[in-house]
Amino acid sequence: MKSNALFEALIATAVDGIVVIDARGTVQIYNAACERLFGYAPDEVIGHNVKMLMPRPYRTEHDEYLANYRRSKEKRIIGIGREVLGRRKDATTFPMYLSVGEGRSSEQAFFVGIIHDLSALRSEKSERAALDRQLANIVESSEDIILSKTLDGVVTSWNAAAERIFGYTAQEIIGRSIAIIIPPDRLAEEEEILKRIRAGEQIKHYETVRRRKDGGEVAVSLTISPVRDAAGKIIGASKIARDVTERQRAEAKAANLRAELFHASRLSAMGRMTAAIAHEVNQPLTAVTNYVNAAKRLLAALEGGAAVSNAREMMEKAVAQTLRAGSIIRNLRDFAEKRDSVREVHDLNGVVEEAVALGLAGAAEANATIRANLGPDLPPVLIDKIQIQQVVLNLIRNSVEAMADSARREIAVSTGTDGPDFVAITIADTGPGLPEEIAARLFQPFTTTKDQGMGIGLNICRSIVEDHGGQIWLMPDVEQGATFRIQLPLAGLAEEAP
Amino acid sequence: MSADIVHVVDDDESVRDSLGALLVSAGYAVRLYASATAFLADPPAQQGCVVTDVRMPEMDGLELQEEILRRGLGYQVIVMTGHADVPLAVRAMRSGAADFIEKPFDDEVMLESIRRAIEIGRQTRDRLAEARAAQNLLALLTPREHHVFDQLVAGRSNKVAAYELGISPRTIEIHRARIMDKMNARSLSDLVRAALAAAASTGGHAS
Repeated sequence: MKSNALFEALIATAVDGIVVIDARGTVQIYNAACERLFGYAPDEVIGHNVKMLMPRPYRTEHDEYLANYRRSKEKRIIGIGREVLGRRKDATTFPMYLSVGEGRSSEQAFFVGIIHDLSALRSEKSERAALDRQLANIVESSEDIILSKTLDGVVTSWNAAAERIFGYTAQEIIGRSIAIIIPPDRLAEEEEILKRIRAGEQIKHYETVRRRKDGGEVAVSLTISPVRDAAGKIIGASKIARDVTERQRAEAKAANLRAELFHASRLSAMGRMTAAIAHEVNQPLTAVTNYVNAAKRLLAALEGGAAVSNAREMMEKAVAQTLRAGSIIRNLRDFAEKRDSVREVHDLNGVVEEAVALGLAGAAEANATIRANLGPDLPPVLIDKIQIQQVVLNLIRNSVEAMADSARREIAVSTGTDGPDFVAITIADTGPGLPEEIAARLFQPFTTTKDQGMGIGLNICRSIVEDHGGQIWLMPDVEQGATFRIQLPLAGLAEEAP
Repeated sequence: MSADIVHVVDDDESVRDSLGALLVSAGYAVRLYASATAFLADPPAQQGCVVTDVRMPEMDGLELQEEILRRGLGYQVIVMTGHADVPLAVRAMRSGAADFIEKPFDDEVMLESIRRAIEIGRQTRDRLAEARAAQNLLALLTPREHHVFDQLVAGRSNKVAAYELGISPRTIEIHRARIMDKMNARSLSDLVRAALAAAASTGGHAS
């Protein structure tokens, strides 16, 4: 009995399912593990044909198979075991490893099946496979170049973006040196990169140039990381590269535009200042000329001999010099004002958009946001694009500076038509607004709220806008901040302006 | 001769004072004003010319020029500017400025301009006086004499005039003698001159 109890315990506690059938396939033993696996209670299975635990086609073939075995003794699974599918009570199937042994008692053959559930293992495997597929998809569909290489620089993988941007197919380049895409003068750079990778460093956002198959160059931003094997040993490098040619081009364009605007604003500031100085200096110069001329005339009435005539001669020379100074100032002023305005027909929205894009850089630094709300179907305007952008940018910058201490830092730039003859640009901020005494003389030169500022920005803005036949003003009674409005005549009307 | 008066209107004291000194040294009588409004507040009855700066607070030189024209004050105006540009010069000349002078200036340039302005002013005044005299005399004529006068200065003979007016040549003769008498004319050409002078003043400066 003792051995019987042991046997019972063995069957009952086995983690794997154990099924014993007779030579006809009738189930004799069906253990607890089987209950869990198949969902049938023992009395539902014991005494029934084992094929109930099998899905098609095993289910239909099993009786035949047993009969065959009895006749031919040809073993297909017995003593071997293999992966098959089990069928649960709810008709679902699961993968299992089935090992079958043959026993005999009193001339009756019986078979012992041990069932090891594979579904957990399988799903883990398939999850990993799915994840792998997903990762591969991400790599393949990435807009960025993703590739890997050994520590010697031999390419080991190469995604679609790399094919597209560099022009080499994966087939062409895998197994070859990465040096193919490195311009000769930058080979040393790759050495340095590999050295750092071997040391376990990551290289981030490294901007450089690579060579395409057609010989053309492409500006890239690289992020290179070491690749380790399961043991943590560095075996290669993965490289993510972004094509930044377009970005660099856009940046260069923006920088040029900024420089041009800056230059223009410097020039017009200089022009204004020169004009102001010329006017201020001209007055005393005029007075000096007049006084000396008056004195010369008074002397002419005297009979003073040589001394008087010498004095008169000197006075004439003095007058000649003041007149010369006057002409120097005139020339200087003409020169400073000579930046001819280039008026062309423009879409106002495009012009404003560019200025806003330029303003964004400064705004982002100051944690301010700019929202552009451009009106649809604006009629064209005849303007000097650079000058009008200078005005818009100047107002945006003023707003950004004014909002430095504000909780909300938002600028709204909008465009729209303003009656039948005008378009308008509105620039509104959420800053503290302008004190009344400043607002009153806002557009006069040398008015400023800034610690460091000449106070000529708005003055220049106004002269630019007025040169265009337009107007600029500070909107009164706004709820918050300062709102400037620029009104410009439509192209047809502007042509008639002086 | 009694000194011609030059009115200097400039907000810059040094320019005002020095220009005054120059003009006095050249023999002019000078009056100085610190602003256009000061000048316009009490425009002097004496004739002469005005020298003013284009750039002044409140009312600038061109506005002063336009105001003088609008009020029919009859002054010739010379406009000074620190910087002559074309639109400014055009605007000044269009509103009747006598001259447009850039600062600083040579004394001869300014004095010549003032001489010319005063001369133009004088001629204008003389023409106005002549016209006014002619108009006064014409006012003495009866309506019938007016009709005869118009025929005569149009160059019609007595006969044609008589036919036009439906009266006898003899009556024309009588009217003609009376007209010559009233107009202080010794000949037909004197009559024509008076007619032209009177016509020239129509739509001219009121005074």
